[in-house]
Amino acid sequence: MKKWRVIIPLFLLISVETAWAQTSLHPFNNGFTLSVSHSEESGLAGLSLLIYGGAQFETSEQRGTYRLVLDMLLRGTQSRTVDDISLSISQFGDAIDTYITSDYWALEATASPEDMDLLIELVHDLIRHSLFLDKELDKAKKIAVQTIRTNQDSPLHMGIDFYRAVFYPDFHASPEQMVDNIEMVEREDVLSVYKRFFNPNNMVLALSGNLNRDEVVRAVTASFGKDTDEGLPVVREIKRQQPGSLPALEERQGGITQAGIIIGTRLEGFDRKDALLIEVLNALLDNSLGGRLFEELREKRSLVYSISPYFSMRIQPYTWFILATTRKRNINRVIRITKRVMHDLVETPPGEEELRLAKNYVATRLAASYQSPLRRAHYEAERLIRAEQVLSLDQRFKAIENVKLEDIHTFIDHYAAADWTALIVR
Amino acid sequence: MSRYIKITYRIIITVVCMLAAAHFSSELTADDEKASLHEEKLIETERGAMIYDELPGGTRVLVLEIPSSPVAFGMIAVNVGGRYESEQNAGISHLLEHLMFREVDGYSRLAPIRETGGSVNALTDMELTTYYFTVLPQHFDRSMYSLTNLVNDPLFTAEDLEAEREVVLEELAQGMNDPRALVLTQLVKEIFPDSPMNSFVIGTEESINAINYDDIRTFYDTYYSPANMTVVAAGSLDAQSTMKKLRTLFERETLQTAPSTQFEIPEPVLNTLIKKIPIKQSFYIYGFLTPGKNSDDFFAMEVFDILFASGVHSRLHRRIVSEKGYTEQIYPNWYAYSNTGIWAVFLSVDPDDMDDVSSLLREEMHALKTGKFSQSELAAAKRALVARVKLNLDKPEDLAWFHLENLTYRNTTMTVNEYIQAIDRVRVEDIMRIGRMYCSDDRTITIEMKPARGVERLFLILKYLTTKTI
Repeated sequence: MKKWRVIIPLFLLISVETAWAQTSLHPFNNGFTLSVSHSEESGLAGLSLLIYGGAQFETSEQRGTYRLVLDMLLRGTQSRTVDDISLSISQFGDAIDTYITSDYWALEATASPEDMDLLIELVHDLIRHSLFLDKELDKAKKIAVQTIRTNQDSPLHMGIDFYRAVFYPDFHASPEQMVDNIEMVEREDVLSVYKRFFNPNNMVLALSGNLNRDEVVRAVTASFGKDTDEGLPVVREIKRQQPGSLPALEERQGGITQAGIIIGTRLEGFDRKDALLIEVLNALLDNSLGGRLFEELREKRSLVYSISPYFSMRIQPYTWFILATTRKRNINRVIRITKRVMHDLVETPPGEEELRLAKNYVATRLAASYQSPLRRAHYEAERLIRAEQVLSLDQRFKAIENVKLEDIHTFIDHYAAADWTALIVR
Repeated sequence: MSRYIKITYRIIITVVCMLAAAHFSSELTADDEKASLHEEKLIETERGAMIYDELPGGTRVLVLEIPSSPVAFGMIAVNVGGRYESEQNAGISHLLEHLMFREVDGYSRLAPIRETGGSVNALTDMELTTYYFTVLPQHFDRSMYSLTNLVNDPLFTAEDLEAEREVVLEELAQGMNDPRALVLTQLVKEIFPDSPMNSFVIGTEESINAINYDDIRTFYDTYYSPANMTVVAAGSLDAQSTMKKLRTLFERETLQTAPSTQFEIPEPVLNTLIKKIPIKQSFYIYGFLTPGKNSDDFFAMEVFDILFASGVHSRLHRRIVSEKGYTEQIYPNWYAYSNTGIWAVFLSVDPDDMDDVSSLLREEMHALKTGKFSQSELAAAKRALVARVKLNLDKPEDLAWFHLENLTYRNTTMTVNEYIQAIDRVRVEDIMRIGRMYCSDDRTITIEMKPARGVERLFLILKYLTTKTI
């Protein structure tokens, strides 16, 4: 275990020149990191503020409670009432979003370029000057509990919960446990999480899009840049799910007309830097109304309306899984044929032509994603918070092009032939 | 067909499409003189030049040039959808849309789009069925050529209908998998028993199963005519040359008339429904019929939506989330069509809070109807709406939908700035009029779904197993 601050390695402290935009990094003395990229694909600008930490640091008694910090940020600051905050958010087109993942908290927004100064000021106020009042905490807790209970009425959420319970039991709590945890939370608990993680040296802010670089750097320098670095560096740990065998098949009740099916495997030993391999492979399995899975299950057999592959790369070992829904009479066939399609990858591995199509699909999706300045800002912030190199669009295109057939084959041999776990919500 | 033959076949088709696209580009020079005879409308917009033209044959074409965009977007929209259907053939527009994509001898005519890495899809709504793609700009011509072929010359067979019927039944089942959705579809049929609006575009298991091959071919021949189509291109394209290419592709010698339609406005026969279902939280729906997209009240209704329930500073959000902390699960939706629409807010709440939430909601509605809100509140709502418009109308795809709707429902080529000006003209009295005209107590509809527990729950499960209803 090593002590870690979100200090950007030297090799990242350069401007990334691209045909599309230039990204510049601005590290501040207090440890805060700003990334700015100007581009004109969009008429808008995006903001992504990530705070390292997230749900992976929750103990079992805290599971489900770290989200409350974000909820409380919107419930009053030293200079803004709850009503003032909601008014400000609405004036930005209700495009300010907060969420928590396993490895960070996020506050993200899209705005018109002329509003960027105001947006930066608002976000800074929320992050640095929230009051965390008891009466507001009571409301936030009630809403959090209500949201968990509502999700119990949703077959989709039942599926998500099932997947987490089976693949990441060390990081999972049942809805009932989470409700109990939330009801126990007190103001001091929320403040202690806030003080531990929400420090300048633990944050990255990425601004992207049609913005004035000098103006936003000035605005951030005058706000985040002046904050004092009071917190201790967060100890960075690689969180791992402890080894344990996975079931071949498990079922839960839920849903009415259909069954949700998750067929997945753990990617033991897989490194996130190779994520593009799976992205390309997933495009080969399912792309725009095509791909091996789509053709076998929908076009040839009419067994599903939607079937798609996904991967999760937050907690190790990572997972690779297929999500499908089907009427209950088709469950066994969908599982059997999906597994066969995955095994066929080993028997009939893709050739250069199939790989080229998949790469084209991934590359076009990437280009389309650059229409959204927020998607771009998020990419940059996420790479920085994980201390990974920020690539320009051209470099990202090249990385897609550089995915080699033999690497795909090695990956398939290693993981596609695995014994896959099938989870059914019926 | 072996994999290798398939690949060879793909290559051949791709080459043919490329040649065809090249041909359709080269024809342009010869067509230039002819093109100049048309009355094109050139409009400068916030993002770039826009050209609109109505071609001989009746197809409407709009091209929006957004030089900075990394992609190009193309769509062909047909004026047909759920409101064009009877109870017997409910779902036929959507089933037809699925069938258009059926592959021919194992090869899709959309392969040229896929091979470039582009995305293609379609959407069927109440009054529009739309086919669209996003590609890198250099692939626009051949992609539009492929999509046009797909829409103008469907090749599906009776066997394809059987296969795709099953896919649509899966889609229907997916939509009903949540008990709240299943019950809602049942209740809407009770509220609007004779309206095509109650089949939610997709139809019912019975109607989907009853549609035969002849029905669907006749339906296609009736509605998929040039005069009933709108084509929109947006993105990093040259507006002038793209318009010329599209004219070549869509121009017809004779003007055909589009099938005439008159949509009836549904009348609710019930206003209040209470149902116990197998859920944990109560689910509350409050709604009313609204003005349509072609109404003079459209913009006032947009502002009304923001003031009342949409967004974190709406009256409902402030009362229910900020002040009381009852729930964050508040989902207002406005489904607007040409001459009518349905506005509804869906709330998931603790059963113990249901009555309070219901009272708050009525209080806030009453305040809007009686003008109990300030000018500054109205101004803030309009600013919030304008901010949303700016955020939501940035990408080529979003702008293409915006202009398609303007052409379809308002017969206008209004720009985003003109849209914003129309929002700015909304006054307090407009909001009050919306409240009085559309949201009077006898016009609002409420649905309460409450958790069934114990024996009740068991009974409902048994009922579903035997009747497929709850």
